[in-house]
Amino acid sequence: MNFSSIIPTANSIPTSWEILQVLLLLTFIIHIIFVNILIGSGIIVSAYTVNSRKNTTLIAHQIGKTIPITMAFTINTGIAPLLLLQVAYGQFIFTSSVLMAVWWIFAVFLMVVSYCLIYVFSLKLKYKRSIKDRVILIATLMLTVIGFIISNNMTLMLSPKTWMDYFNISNGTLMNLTEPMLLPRYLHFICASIAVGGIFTAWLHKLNKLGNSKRINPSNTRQYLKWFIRATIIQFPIGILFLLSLNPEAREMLTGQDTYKTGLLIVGILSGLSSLILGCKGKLIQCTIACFTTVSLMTLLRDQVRKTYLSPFFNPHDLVVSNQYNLFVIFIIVAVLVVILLVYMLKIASRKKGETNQL
Amino acid sequence: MNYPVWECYFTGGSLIVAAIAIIHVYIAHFAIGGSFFLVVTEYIGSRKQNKTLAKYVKSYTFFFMLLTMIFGSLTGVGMWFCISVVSPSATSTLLSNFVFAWAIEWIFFIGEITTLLLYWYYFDKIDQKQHIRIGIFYCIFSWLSLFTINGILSFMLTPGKWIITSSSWDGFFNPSMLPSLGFRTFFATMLAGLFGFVSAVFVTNSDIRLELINWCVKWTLLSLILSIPFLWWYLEVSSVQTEGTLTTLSPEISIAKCSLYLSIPMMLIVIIFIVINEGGRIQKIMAFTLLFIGIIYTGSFEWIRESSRRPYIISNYTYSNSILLTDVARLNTNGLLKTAKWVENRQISEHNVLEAGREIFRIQCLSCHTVGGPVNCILNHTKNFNLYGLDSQISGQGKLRGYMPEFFGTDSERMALSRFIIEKLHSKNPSPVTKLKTKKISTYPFDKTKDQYLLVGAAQYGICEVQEHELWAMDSPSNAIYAQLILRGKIPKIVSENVIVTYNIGRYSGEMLFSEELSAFYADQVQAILDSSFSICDPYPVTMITATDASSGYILAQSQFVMPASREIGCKHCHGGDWRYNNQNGISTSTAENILKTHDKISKTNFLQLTKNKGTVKCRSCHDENTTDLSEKHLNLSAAIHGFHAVYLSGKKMESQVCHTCHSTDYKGHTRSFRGVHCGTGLECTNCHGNISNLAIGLLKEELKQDKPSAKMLIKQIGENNSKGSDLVAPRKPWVNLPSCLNCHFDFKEPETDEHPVGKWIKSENSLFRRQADESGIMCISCHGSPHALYPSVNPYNENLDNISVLKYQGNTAPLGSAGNCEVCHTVDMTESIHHFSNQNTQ
Repeated sequence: MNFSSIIPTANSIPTSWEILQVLLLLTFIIHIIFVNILIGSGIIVSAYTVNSRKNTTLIAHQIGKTIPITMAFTINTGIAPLLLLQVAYGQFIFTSSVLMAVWWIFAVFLMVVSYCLIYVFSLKLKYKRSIKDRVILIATLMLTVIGFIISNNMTLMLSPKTWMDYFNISNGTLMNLTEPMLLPRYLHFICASIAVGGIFTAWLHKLNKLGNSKRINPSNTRQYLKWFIRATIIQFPIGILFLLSLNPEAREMLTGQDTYKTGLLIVGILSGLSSLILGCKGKLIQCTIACFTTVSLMTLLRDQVRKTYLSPFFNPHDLVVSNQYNLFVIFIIVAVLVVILLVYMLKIASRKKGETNQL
Repeated sequence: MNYPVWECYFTGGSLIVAAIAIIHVYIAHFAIGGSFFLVVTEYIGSRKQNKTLAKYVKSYTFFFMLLTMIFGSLTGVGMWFCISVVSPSATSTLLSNFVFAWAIEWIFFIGEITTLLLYWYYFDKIDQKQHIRIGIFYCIFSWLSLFTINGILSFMLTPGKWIITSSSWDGFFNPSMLPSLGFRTFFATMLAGLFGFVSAVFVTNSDIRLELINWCVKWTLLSLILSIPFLWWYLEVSSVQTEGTLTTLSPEISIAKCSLYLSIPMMLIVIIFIVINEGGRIQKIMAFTLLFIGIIYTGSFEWIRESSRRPYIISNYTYSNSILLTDVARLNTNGLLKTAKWVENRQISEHNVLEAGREIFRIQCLSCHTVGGPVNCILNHTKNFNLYGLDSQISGQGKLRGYMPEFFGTDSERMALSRFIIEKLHSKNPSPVTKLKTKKISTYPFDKTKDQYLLVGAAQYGICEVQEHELWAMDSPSNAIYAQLILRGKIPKIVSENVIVTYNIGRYSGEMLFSEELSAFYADQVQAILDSSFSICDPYPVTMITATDASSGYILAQSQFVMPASREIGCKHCHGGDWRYNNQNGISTSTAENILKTHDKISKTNFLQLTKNKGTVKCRSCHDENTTDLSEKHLNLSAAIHGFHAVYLSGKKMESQVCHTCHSTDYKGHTRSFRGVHCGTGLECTNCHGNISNLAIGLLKEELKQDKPSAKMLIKQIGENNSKGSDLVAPRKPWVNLPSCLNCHFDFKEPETDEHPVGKWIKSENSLFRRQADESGIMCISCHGSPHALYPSVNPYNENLDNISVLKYQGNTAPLGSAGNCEVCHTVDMTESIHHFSNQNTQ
């Protein structure tokens, strides 16, 4: 049986492919930054709690207080890109999700448990400190497992050839472990999370949210940026490994065959390098901007890799467009209005901020 | 079909979705209602300058935030993940049509959780007016998220004009959108009130507790009262839109409706208890009880919604198993295996039939059924069937009880599915051929030269099935026997006077009466099954008839014939249980109970319970064909039984096998009652009676004359595809309008063609073969034997068992007097026959 014959027929898309792409990329960039902050913070907090000799436990708990909110926004910002992914690439993502259904649903279970554990860690509950420390470690481990499951799904959707395994394993326990790019890609993501998590904690410090942390490093934010710097340094060899693990078509595309995509990769690497240099110099704002740019560029690149992988089976312009532009316009209007309203409310909330705000 | 199916036998797809959905629906509604409850309570507290209320709201908000943000949002995501893997096709359709509605809902939800976080974190930290203002936005966002998701949810049950226009607007603003929104809004606020009770009863200060409880009472009652008209509106609209599924056969909906309606007064009672028992221990228990009743109220509503959507997941568009309505014709013509994408076995052979069956099971069944799982287990649903029974059940599935999809595919695919379920999942083997013991016969001598009299007789039914069980009784007409005493001579005479004709069957005997109308002695209501020991092993007891001179007591003539009677009625093939007697015949209690249970389920009767108190249910007390009451709406028994089962049995390739499933004609069985000359020529039941569809439609058409709604419904369900030629079938009364011999034997000659005209029935009972006589008064059955056992017959217990009578008189098995045997009666050879006159007029 030819594996291309089992690729499901695509449904219509509501607007042009380009609009969907822009929305998908925009929402994904927001989501992935929250994901990176969440997992990065989790890893940093876990590391601080494990290494409690340096009197870092208190800082860990101060960072930990922000994790529930980060998790709430991570989950909720994830909804839009997954929705758009299912609309734009439904025939691929639905299929891969079914093939690994057990893990996919297990990820939800892990989300619920880790969310509860994060609250246990962050709230003033009367648990022993050692228990709370273990709790955040377990929660972080769970989050990284969720990341691994999602990486599996995102790579499995690109590999219809592997789908044929369904005829041997149809109970939803398929994984894409034989995929060469899976591990480098996952490590790339974990490293990025630690780096972004480092920037986030540095910001918390800068915004004076870490209370007693001044005792450790009262003068600057470099202490926290070390997480970013070290993770970014490791990121470069992992990135190369990731590049090499791509299939020949994608690899060649990024190494000269396609000027635009190769250029994107080079600009992305340069942006990453600049963020590293800025991080080393302790320039938090500039470093953050460079890091954000790098994440955005890498997201664009990720999208190009996906398209290259799927190009033998999928041409976006073959999709039927059902012209729901009026709904799209309403969505944009609603989004803008809600953002305005939220800004307004933040303004209301910050009126007495100087005296009482502890957010 | 377009997507792979997650082969998760133990949970299936439905259980996982249901488990998450129950939690999510409850918490999500609570989140929406709670926002209003918190903000309104805070507002009232601020107006009354009541700090206690404000404090209460704060503590409640924290609990509320944890519950909604962790479990509410995550179970929502969980639901989405689950439906993506369980029903990817339907999810894709929803996304394709409503992605921006979903995206808008997402924006509102972001607004909701942001404002909730602000509301919680800035309690007591900003001016209360500003705090309430944030709260108001929080309420607005939460309600707007309900507004958008409600449009999509209600679309699935009532897509309305979307089916025609494919416009997302039409889909969103569908017929049940507004009532559903209204109900969910007030239901959500009510739920918050119920949670309010739980938190209020734990307040230690009695004054404050009382104040809070009073507030919760007002809040909950107002919400409950406002939700009721919307509930009624929703049920009305949904019922119309789903063509009455809500009010038809689904027993699940009846239970859910019952619990929905009951939970309302129960809530009121418990609230009264909470108020009366102020400060008492029971108050806390009652608060949790109230919460539990709230779950029942929610669960019942969602249950009704889910059940009434069946057999669809998106009404009139996508079936529960993700098969599109538009694909059905293609599937039935080309086959599922050739059409579906995720299939390995495209062709069915004996080698791969079970694997193919498994693939069909995966696509068609697994989205709702589990295998060995806690809900909707396919093993429980199919345990009663044998292979043929299951194949028939699947064939009729979804037609009468429309909450399951029909089977989509070819006959061989349906059989592959049945075989997979029976042979692989149940590990059942086909039933073996019954071994029959040969029966000895002994004939009484007849001397053509000396004997003056000839006594001939036959049973009126060559096939007589007797159903007798303590639980229910069909009371079918019992067998009767006829005998004619002929005084031999050149012109023989039928003797009716001064003779006594008696019958004897084993231990049972009696005198036969003479009927002027029939010119024959008869004994009706002959106890067909004489006693258990007699008939269990012998469906063909031999009757001895004796004619004696009334004055002298001298035996004039004796004869024998078979009086068939069989308990082999194959209900068990579909209704489960074993044979009652000797693993050969009889309806077991298990089978009988299942039949009553099925009747109760489908016709909403209570027979199973009734039998425990009042004894046997008499089928004909409702389904009476002899009733003269024109207002009677029950079908007669034949029409009801054949009509109902035809829905499941129509359209089978081996049409006569359908007859053998229920009747005692099965060639592997204990009776094998179709054994006459027609059987020997290769004819089948359906050649004369028509296939099950035509047979049933004939009966139903007659009932249609009285506008019986069930007749109309069954004719529709049997379907045009399965009842070719049914337009030619004339209406018929059971036991009266039967096939005429002349349909084939035109002018009493051998048929010239293989054509078997079906659907032409004899007009009146007296013209039936079993009661018909020729010009001289000799009954047809006297010379030809009983119907279905016409001479020469081949009885399975002894090939000549049915032919004893003719063997005695003429030494061969041909019809009496045929093949040059005129002298049997006439004592001389005759040159022409006058016997084949008939008035078997057909309609």
